[in-house]
Amino acid sequence: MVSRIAIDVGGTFTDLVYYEDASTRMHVTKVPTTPEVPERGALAAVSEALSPNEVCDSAYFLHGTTVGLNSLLQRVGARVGLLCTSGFRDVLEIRRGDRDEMYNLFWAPNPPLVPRRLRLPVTERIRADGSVHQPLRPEDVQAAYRTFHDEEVDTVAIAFLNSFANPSHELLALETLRECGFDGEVSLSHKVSGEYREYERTTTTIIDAFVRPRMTLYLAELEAGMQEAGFAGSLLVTRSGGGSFTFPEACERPFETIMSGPVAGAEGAGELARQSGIGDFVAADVGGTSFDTSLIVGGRPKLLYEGNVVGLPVQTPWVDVRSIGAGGGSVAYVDSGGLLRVGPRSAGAVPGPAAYGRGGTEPTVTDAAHILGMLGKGNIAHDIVLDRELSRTSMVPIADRLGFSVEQSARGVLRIVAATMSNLMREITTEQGTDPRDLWLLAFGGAGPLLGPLLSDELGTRGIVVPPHAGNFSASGLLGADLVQASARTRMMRLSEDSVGLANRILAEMFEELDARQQDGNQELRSRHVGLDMRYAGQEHSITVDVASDRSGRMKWNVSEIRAAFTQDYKRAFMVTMEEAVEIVSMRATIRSPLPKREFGAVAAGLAGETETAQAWSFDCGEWRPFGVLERGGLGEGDIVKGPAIVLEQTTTTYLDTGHLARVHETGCLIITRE
Amino acid sequence: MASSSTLVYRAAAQRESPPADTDPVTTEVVRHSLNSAANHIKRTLVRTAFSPVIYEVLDFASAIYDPHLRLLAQAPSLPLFMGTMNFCVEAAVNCAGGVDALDPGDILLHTDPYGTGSHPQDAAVILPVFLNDEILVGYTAIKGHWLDIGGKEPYSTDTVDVFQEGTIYPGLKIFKRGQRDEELFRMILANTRVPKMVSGDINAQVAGVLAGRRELLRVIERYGLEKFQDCVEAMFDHGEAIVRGFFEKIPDGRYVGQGEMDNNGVEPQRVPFEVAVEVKGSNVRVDYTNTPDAQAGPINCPLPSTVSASRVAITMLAGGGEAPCEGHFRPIEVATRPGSMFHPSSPSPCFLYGWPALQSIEVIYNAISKAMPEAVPACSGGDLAALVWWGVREATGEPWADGSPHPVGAGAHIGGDGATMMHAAEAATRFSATEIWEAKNPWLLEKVEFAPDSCGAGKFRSGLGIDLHFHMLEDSFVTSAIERSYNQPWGLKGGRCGRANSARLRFADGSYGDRFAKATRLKVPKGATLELFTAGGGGYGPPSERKVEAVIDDIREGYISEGHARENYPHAFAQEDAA
Repeated sequence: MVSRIAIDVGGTFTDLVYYEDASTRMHVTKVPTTPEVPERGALAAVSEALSPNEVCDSAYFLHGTTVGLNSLLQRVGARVGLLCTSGFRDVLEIRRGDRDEMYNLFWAPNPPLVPRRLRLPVTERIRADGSVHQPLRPEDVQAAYRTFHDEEVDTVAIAFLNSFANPSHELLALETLRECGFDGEVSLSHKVSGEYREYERTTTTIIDAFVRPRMTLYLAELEAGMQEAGFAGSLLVTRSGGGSFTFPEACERPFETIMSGPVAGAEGAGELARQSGIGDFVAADVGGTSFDTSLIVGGRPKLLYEGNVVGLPVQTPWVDVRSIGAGGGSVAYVDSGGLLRVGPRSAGAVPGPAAYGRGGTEPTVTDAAHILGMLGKGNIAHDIVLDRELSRTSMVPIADRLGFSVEQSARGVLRIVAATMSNLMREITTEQGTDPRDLWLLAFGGAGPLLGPLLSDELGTRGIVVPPHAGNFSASGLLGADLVQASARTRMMRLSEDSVGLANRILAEMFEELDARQQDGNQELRSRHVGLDMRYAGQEHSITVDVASDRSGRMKWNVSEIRAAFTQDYKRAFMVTMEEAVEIVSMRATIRSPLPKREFGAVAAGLAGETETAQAWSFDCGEWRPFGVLERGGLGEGDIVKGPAIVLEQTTTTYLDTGHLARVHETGCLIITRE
Repeated sequence: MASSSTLVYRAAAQRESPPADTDPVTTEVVRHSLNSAANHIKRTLVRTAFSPVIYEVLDFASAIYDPHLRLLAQAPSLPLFMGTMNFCVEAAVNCAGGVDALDPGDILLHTDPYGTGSHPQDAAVILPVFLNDEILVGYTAIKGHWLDIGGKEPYSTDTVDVFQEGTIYPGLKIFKRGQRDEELFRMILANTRVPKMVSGDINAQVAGVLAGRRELLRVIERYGLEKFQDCVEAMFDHGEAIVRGFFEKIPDGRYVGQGEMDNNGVEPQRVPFEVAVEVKGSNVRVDYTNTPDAQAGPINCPLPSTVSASRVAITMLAGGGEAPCEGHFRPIEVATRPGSMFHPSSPSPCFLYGWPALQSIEVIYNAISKAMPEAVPACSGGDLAALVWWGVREATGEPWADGSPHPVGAGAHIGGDGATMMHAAEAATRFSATEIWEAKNPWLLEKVEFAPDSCGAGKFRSGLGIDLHFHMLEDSFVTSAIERSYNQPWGLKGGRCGRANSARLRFADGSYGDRFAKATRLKVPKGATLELFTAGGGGYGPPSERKVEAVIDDIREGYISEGHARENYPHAFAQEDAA
């Protein structure tokens, strides 16, 4: 019984994907998102799509949520009080002194999440080596409590300097606060992050305290609703750093869910890479307003250990998904200097592209594609039929300004948006020392398979892979999310036998803590993973090296093996190596428990004949051509479709230019290569 | 000696033949790809560098030039460096024997201040890029700050000629046809107090320009050289149109701004100067001819940095918020007087070249404010409040060095209050986290906190200055390069001044030394504390127009005291006092 339900709450639609174990069948439903009460939309999708039996028989409920993210975007969250080291009351507001927009003379940061009157100093001081320089004055905590009480603070964050090296003062402050009678939630910086850099750690702790009450309430409502519907399995939320964890854990560590939504696609791409054996991917997730890309090498998305959201650093594992404002709804315009520009502004779902006929008059990427016939007759999802005349009309002002025809302008819009996306993909790949020519472009999201050939040509990838249910791939990516717990601790030391020994002792403590966190998952299948952040002595930035470990999480490698792995990874990223001594900066412990495996595919056999043809622009030939139009549902394993063709399915359209072949892989993926 | 002639510097000219085969689509694609390539150089450098000045503070610029030394793209990095990079490339190539002496795989090192515009520590590493090992198609370049290059001190405010300031490497090939020159490399490492850091940073700069070459060639190969070049011309035209659009809105006229340096570093008297901004149609001339003769101390600003300061000031204001290219510079002329402090010649000392450059940015805005006060912010803290530290660790005997600029208050403007951040001339730089400093240096920071009341009052107030207290756990030396300690940041349209920059020492016995600003090789003994006070900015509009709620909020949050509020905003208490 490993059927499972995945729900991805997006800005416009809530997607539900149900995977039935017995038949390996996937079932997809879309309902409108209810932004004010997102759990209602999610539960509505369940009752609409699934029978009570199907709900009862499911073992897992996997959820990608944007509740935390939206809470930050809208700045609606708890009223937080901060206890900080005396003399450092303004860490949050001074930041690192830099500007997000360096060419903007008038730029100013957003107001801090905690106003200054609620950032209260406590006399105490820990040194960088963990020794106590000045003991904590409990009277300061008591005084702060009175202010918090009078100001009706909901939650408290405690972030003292160097607490990563010695947490005793944070713990003592917590105890004092409780003795005073504070009964709200408290976030401790050393528990949240354990890494150095006070601005980043303090901000992460405050984010945790800020989103906590809302997240806890939301998950509780969702859990109650699911239980009422008869669900008795495990409820899981995806983490910013990949994998998933249980609802109770998510309530404990809500800051780990901030990127829960966007990582689902990267996770799904990882699972597909592992199971299909097709190769390494660069993922191109093209939605209505944003383009998200990630790099999948060796079956896993690349991980970072610090993220950034609405201009705030978050010190936590973070799947390296990069986004720009470019998608099907991105608006095209001519700037004051006379160049054609696309995005980042989007026409959104309302009014949407001009072709929707909902009052939009500005030309979008979707309009450009429709002008060129790439969407066939324009029957896209959600019962919308695109109107080509409206698309053409919207493009006229641009064509007039540029002295182009409407078609030329439309091609220009697509080339620019493809170049913008390709530059981001090139950055994410070459930065890691990976050549895009060795990768497959995994195209998904509503508009990904449409732009696949343009993107693949720009990057020179081996070809394009369009997964099954490409339009809902993010939601289906949730289905395979492993259970993951992770933590990190900073302890700077030269790489030596002694330091490796010490690192192993610290890792043992960390794994013990993680074990205590996890109440769920299959003990048998649990695996432990160790990463070391390392650098050449004298450098600041480190890279994270995966180190082989035994079942208990003890590192297997000796000093020279660890150094060799560091050297290899460093060379891969930066093309050079050095003779310097190597330092360990932080240790990272991860526990992974995979969910039972699921099968991709269950592809029907038999090639459906081409139902009709339609005129569309061929970028390859530079002229209009008749394109075959067929239904993806009619394709079976091993079938080959020869371009030019347009392949339709419920939630996306695949554009197959002249000179391209699409073969249906055993996983149901379309594998597109040049002839 | 000082002459009365005037030199006018303009951006590189347009190509003679107009771009034949361009369209706004390919041009936009090329523009985007070039910016992406410049960013790649930056990321590679940051992630491989050894000195905190590069990886934390981001004290460098990375850029790509065409063979005619026109700026193709630059990554967001130190603005004041960015405008100088064409001079760096030109000087390095000339020193190396001209374009014909360059081979594929060569990498040049240039540290001559009169070529780079900076002090010798700002080392330019330049890679000529050849297509098919044959055709020179451009340069990738990084100018980055090394922590020491063998000057009389790691950092100085009192040099009297350029030879005291560091070792000059005039366009030397550190790589010849892809092979590192080991003898030269040895020589470089022998001329620094921190050889490990410098060795690491050279490697990082080399990795950066190599990454840039790969990306530039990819863009050119993608479109073909001819088409690429046409697009570049069209891209320049685009940038030019944006800046011209801004100046068309400023009324024609000559607007004069006043500035003043605290002193020249070796003589006590103040050094006033003026910069005029002349707007005519969409052309703008920045006129430095009415400035003093070259100074005996190191506040002389070589021409490249004078030009750069003008470009930074103008493009930040008029560039539409985007990264500039050569085209953005075309409407800008810079007039200087050879022999003056803004156009000195060797061997005038110029270690603090950036300080007059930075002041001149504020003066340019001061001048423009006389035409259109709403177009610019009031004066900022007007300085980097930089400290450079060094010493020898007690336990290991290892030399250490570190240095950082610090945030100041930003000026208020018609749109609202100013915040606290780095000066615009170092808009992309950051200062280190306390926890990084303490992990690395023998310090305990006692305080890094806003200084209440340090802001300039006004309808909109400036950002606050910061108090930083560095307590020494071991004996250390510091060079304090603080400017603008007499002149408070000016307000606009009735806005008031903020506090000025300064520093002082507090000794272990609790006694204080005198306030100071510029000081070289000051010993800060174990147990003593250096207290740095960074400036606020100027306010905008009369304080009497500030909303009462805003005043009350500022008091409640502790940004200002009640005393400061009563003095500057009596209207906020009118009701209360009447009651």
